[in-house]
Amino acid sequence: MSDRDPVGISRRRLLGGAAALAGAALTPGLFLVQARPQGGADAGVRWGLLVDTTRCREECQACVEACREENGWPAADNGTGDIHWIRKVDLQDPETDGAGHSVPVMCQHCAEPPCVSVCPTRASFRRADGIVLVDKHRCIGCRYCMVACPFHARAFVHAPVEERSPNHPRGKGTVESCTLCVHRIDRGEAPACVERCAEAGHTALVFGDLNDPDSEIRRALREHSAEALRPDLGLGAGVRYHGLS
Amino acid sequence: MRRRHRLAWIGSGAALVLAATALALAVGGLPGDGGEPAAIADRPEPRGEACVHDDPETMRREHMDLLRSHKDASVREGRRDAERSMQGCVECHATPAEQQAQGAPEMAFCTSCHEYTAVEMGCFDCHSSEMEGHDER
Ligand code: SF4
Ligand code: SF4
Repeated sequence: MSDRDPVGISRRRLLGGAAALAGAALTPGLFLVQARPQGGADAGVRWGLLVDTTRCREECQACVEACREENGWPAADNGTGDIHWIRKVDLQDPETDGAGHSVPVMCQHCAEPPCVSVCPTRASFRRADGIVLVDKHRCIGCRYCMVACPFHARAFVHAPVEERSPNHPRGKGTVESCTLCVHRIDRGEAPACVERCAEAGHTALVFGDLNDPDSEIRRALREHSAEALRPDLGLGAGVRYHGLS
Repeated sequence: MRRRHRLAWIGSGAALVLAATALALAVGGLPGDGGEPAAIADRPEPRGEACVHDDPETMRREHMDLLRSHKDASVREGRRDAERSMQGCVECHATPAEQQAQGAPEMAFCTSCHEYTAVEMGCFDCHSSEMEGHDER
């Protein structure tokens, strides 16, 4: 099977449109990473995401739509509760009345995740490569994690969902949140939001291995300052934001 | 008092024999009908040469444990194996389109046994039984 070849070469793709914008962007370009289908999550890797808030457009919902299509979560008004994995949030400093930012907020894939600390069943867990997930076969739907998460990143599935995505099993009575498109990462592709943002011509999202000094995300982080949301909480977020302050 | 105890013992012994007979009938079918209960004989033919385990007896007995341990490996450790995934099951065992058009359930291969043995199967309440796409969990 082509998507199981050991280095994932066949899955590598260059996004030409993104490369053309390289001058202004946080070095977009080759997004794809090495697939490790058999070996499992690599403890030497720390997957991360960099959001360039100076390139994120207020009216744009491309990342949200891409996520919804990829992971099959329903629109908010269909009676299944408000399932959301990624939201566009408008931020403005109330004291200065200055220009605001529009940023996507999803699970920040914390190094010290409060959702994992409070989970009584170990359903919430952190994979060896830093991705925070819910093991729904263990989740009892207590929703402690939703209360513990400072970013309102998690959602509870209140009712049976008719349409099930082959990419993401979804069951009534369990909690879910952004998986960083773990199914795509494991076959060597970048998350759906990152790909769609580049296709939309904004390239505001950079994905990669924070532990690899040569990765695109590390190069971007060397050139541009970036911070976590609520850095005062010291959660070691895997998602960083450039241009907030 | 003692007499009532003895009666209780005889009663529970008889119940046990009845239960054992019912179980034998459920598993093996009526003697002389070829061993396969009729409802199970109706299930759609799986595609492919052999299951991930060659031995159907093992799969019948242990598929739920195998699925659980594969889930732990793939979800928690990221060790994926497309063949042993839920999607792998669906790819070989989903009901062919023409039989679905005649009203057979999507996963009749599973439901034929599960209904017969009255064991509820919740897999496809959450997992997709679509034949396209990658689940690999
Ligand atoms: S952002 Fe929320 S859900 Fe994600 S790891 Fe941190 S606490 Fe958990
Ligand atoms: S809702 Fe599920 S994942 Fe969240 S704390 Fe409770 S058991 Fe853990």
